[in-house]
Amino acid sequence: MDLFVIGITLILTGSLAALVVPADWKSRLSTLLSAAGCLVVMVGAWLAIWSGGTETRVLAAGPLFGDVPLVLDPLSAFFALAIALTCLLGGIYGTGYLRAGSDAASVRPERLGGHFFCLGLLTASMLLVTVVQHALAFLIVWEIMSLASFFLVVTEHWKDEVVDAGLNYLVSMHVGVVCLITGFLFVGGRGAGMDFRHFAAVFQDLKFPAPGIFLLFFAGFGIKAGFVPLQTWLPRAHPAAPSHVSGIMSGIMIKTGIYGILRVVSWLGKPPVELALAVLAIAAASAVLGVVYAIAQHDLKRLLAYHSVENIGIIGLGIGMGMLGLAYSAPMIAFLGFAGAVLHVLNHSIFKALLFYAAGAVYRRLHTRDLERMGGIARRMPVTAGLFIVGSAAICGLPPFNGFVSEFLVYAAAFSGLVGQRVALVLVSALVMAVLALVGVLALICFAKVCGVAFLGIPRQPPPPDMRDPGWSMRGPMLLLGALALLIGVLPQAAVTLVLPAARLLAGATALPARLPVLELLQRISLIAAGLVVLTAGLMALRRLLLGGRPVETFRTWDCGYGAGTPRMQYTASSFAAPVLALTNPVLALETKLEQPTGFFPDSASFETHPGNIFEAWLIQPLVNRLNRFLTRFTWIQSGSTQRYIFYGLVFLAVTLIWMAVV
Amino acid sequence: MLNLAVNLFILLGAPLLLVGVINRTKAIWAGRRGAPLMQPFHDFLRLLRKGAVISDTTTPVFRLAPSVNLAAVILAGLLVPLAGGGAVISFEGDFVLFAYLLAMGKFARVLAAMDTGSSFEGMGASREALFSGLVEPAFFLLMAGCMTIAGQTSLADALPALQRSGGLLQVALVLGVISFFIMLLVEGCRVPVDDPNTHLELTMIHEVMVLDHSGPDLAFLQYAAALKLVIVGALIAALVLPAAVPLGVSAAAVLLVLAVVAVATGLVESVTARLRMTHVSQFVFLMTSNGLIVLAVVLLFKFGGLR
Repeated sequence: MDLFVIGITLILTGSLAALVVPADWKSRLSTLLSAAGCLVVMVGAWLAIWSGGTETRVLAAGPLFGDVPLVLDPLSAFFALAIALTCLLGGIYGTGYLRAGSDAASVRPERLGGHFFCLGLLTASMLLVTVVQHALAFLIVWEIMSLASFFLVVTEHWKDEVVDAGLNYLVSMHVGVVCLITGFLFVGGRGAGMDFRHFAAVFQDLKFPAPGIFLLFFAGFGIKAGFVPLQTWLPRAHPAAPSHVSGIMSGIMIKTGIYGILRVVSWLGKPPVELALAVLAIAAASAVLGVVYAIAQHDLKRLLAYHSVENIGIIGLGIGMGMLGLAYSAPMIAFLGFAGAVLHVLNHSIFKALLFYAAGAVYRRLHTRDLERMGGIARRMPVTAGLFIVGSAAICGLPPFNGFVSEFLVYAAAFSGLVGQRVALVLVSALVMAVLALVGVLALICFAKVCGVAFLGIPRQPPPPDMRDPGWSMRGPMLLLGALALLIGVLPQAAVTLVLPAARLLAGATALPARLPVLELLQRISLIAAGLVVLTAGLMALRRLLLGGRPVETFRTWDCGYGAGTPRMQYTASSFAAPVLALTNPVLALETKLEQPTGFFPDSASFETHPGNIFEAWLIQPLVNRLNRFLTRFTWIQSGSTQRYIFYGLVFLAVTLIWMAVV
Repeated sequence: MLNLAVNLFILLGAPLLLVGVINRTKAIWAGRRGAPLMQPFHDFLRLLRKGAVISDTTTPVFRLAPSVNLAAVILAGLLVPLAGGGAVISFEGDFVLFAYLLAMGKFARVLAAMDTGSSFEGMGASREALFSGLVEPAFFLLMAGCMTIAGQTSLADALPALQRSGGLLQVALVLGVISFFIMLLVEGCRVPVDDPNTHLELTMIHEVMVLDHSGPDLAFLQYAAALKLVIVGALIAALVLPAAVPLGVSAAAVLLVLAVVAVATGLVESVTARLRMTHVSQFVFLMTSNGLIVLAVVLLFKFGGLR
């Protein structure tokens, strides 16, 4: 706990320093202090996980707040570790990313102060969210987190689309906060006050409508996390933000929503089966729709944003299996589900940040996010491309990378449910496995498309002269994340020790055996993952040996003997995705613009598709339109004349005084 | 130890022989004498001895992919039960790793194809990614059915469970065999999903993806493709063969099933034409519906009291 407080103090100092020091020093000093703070927090969090206990410190915070407990339990410590890791690397990458943009469209150095101030504030508030266990204080740090990230999203505020995305994000977050406030008021009204430590008792009171309140919290936290159908802010905000901010937001900030949901689950005790099924259904929809929308996307960062929805769905499937395990009093299923969900939080923060950073490095050189304009990046930026491919394999859950490990744990929860004696559990488990498999397959298609179209092949546009791998401040964090993805994939039994205490906490520690059989499974997986690396290296050595001394020529690609291959003849992202989109058309709301060639000598023809979003088109937009129509009736209030506003103030004062006199 | 040696021998020795059997079947059906059974071996060795021509648009991904693919497929093969009712490596939930290793191989092949910048290879890559992708959810549904009956969750323990219980489960067993046979046709890129003998790039799937590979790279890719036939054939063998028999008998039985599967593949290839590309996904969905039916049958058997 001491280390945690020291770390946050360092981060906040760095954040404030960014405002006051001269322009040249802003990014360096602030990032240095913030990085030191993150490292201290990581050590503290790691020690807390390792000890497995719960540390509490109560702050006396005056008459308004009363006592504010700061609690570092295994769950908070795990999230704090992941947050500190992502923010540490994101901050370092950010200094390079903002410097690299020496073109006209980038942030001026004297404006960087505000940016790094918000970045530090975001880091500190995310860390505090995991430990503050007091409703009012929690809402305040939650709000600071939302606002800081809002200002980071609108860093490039001179672009209209960025401001639009930012406002959309801001509004979405506040819809979420309304749900949270209502939830906290409900619980607090039952005599629990503000202290989270008393909430479990309220939730387990039989007269309390626990499932309803859980769903209210789920909606509030789910908007942050990006569950379907509340995810509409996500594909806008991530592309609008600078890449290091996208990496931090998509990698870890949306996971604070997952933290919130898990915290509420820990209060819930034994949930009803229906509630677990509802969570599973929402999660399955998020996972499948997220990846389907991603396949339809040709904007690289928006595509990655939709993959966040998919991965949040996978995490949700883990949480749902965990809750189902609790509901059926099957602690092992609960443990595996929660362990998979929590580990996937860390894994996703690693590979998603890596993917966003690599995408950012490409954006800095090409100034486009459109896949159809990329191609052949790997020849000019081999390190970036290699790391993007590593990140892609990891996000598809392919061994030997980290994504496989956490998905395996969720699978393990499902197949442990299969061998039981409950028909509902068997059915749900089988369907969860099929959904996970489907999502894995679609993710593979999507990332094969991105890697193949953007990074491999021939450039579709002449590459700019400065097209090369980024400098070390951007390359270092990417290399480290890639190494972590491989390390966790090859040594899953070591990585899983980080989540064991948290998963035990959520699954009810007493019901579990001290030695868990899953560790042995992970050892076998480690063996095969390492075997894959070694065998590949062996085969490459064999290939080298066989080709040594033999002629190896380079020649142009086979094109039916014409010898006139041009970039325009390459398979495009749209063509690659077309067979899948044909199958998934019903959920896509695909907008097509077709201008057919006419006449005997047609001179022009065009075809465009714009993937829509059924929730936005059918649910959110009609709702917003209706609300707009209703609220338009009150526009006369806003007349613009100062006298009228002063009059309103007077009326308000008078009414308040009368009301106070009466009461 | 003997068990391990026999399994490795079948796994690594049978693939090219199986291709020989398929080709010989097709030749006999067409009224020809056909190439010797060992011809694929000779082709393989010849490719290994050749130099290579590499496309000038490619990156190291293209050179790495055949090795990654072969390594992933070999490791997937280690998880599959062969002779003596056991796999080389077997643990609870190994089927997940099995499916994802095959996916890793596919990812490598698809990237290598995209790396050439050729529209044909892109087309093949897109189709391969989709068609063999559609197999996966169906595979997990089938495995769910087997595991529910077996009460065990490794490939070696779960697959033989369907034949042990008899009764209604015979239906599930037949559907399971059909499904794995479809999986074999898809993963092995055979007719009616893909035609290994076509000479029009537009209609190829697997063959067009490897157009630009040559020498040892091509040898690795072809060997891996043949190995996948053995792997999926072994899944069928595990489904139909009784588990507890002496090693020698079991090895002979597995080889026999593999031979039958190869002949069946050759016959299918001789009597049917390749499906239209737009109909291939429907063909693969047959496996998904089979998987759902197997699951339903298993649930009725285990919980509904239906025998």
